[in-house]
Amino acid sequence: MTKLLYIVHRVELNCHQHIVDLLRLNGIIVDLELVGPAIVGSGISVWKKLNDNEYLALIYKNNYDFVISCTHSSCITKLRTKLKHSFFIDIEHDLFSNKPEHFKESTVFTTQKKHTDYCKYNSIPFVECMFPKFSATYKKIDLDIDKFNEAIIIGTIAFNQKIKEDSPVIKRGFSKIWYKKYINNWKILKGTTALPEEFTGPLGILNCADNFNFLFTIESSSFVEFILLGKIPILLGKKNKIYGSIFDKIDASHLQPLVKELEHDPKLFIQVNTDMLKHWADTNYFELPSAAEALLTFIKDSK
Amino acid sequence: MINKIVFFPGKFHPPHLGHAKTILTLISQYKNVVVGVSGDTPSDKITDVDNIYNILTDLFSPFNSVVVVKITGILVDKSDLTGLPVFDVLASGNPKVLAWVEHMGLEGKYTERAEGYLFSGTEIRKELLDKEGYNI
Repeated sequence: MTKLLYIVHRVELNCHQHIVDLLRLNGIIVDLELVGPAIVGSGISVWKKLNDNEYLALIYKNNYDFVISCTHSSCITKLRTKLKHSFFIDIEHDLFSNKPEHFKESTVFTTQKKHTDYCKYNSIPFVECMFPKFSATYKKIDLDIDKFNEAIIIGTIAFNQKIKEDSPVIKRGFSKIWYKKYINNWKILKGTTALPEEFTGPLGILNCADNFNFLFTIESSSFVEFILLGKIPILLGKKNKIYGSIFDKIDASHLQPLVKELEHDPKLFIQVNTDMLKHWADTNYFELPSAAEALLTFIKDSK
Repeated sequence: MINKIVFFPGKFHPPHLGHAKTILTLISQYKNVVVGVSGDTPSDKITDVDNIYNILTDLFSPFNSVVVVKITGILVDKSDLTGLPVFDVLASGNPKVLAWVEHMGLEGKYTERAEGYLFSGTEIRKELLDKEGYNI
């Protein structure tokens, strides 16, 4: 019986559930390791130190045939290196990154051209497949929860700057009430969140995504998700700078006409996605196998 | 942020990612967190109380709001709070501990097993005890 560990950011589980479902339907045991909001800021050091302990690597190695990671998070780097797992698989996590990270010991499931070029140059095995967010089936409940949630558009440079605590956007975001689905029992939670210590880096972004329920960046795959879902009111900026600025709220209706158009015009929907990807991928995503199909084939062939 | 001291006792044998997630969550919720390594923690070839104490102290050293202590005796056998640190709330996922908290008239908080974590201490111990000569 094949058994695998699937490591994914909790907020992105809905994008990967269809992969997990297909694997389970085919008799593969899938354990989920959800990277949650506690592992941010100084919490990362705890995660890293724990992963330095030999006994955890041993547990993972003895229990799984494959370890699949859908996160670039540095918190599992030590574990990954320690395992030197011949079947450590990375599924493309961020469509808009320039190269795969921490992938020396892995097989990379991707189609992003910069990633495949990097893999070829560094002799890292890879499998071409569709970006998981394109083949994901989003559950209605995910869209219904807190549909009035706000999102932020920030430029990528802002990731490297500490977001000011007294920023109106942050104040608004962290004083508002959030609602969440609790994954294990579908109970909807409600609460407010304290300002985290640290916003920089991918886990800072994750924290933002968790607290605001969504976060966009101009060069982020979250933007793709927005196009795909098209349900989320957004904050737009009066300064209208792409990089380095947090945008103030103008009106969520700015993008709604586009969203409606995309929802009702499948051809336009594909065109918008294809145009957006041209800069990043020198291939047609929609002709590739889904990540779920590619992963299943890979596992069967590896037996 | 709740302006209280939360006490999180356990055997932590051995410390694992589920413990870390729970403690990090408590850190985000409470002003101070006291992690208590229980006095009935067994010493075996996997680890012992001193080693667990050292690992946890090292893990949470970046957090000023956290202190790790060793508890003398067995918590649920205590008839008073002698040997325990000062706290406002006791957090635990162990029904026996929470029953003791209620019996003692203290404030308790149920902490669920960390979301998404796969292994319990029992499973890890079983795995490691099968390994001849294994020692953290």
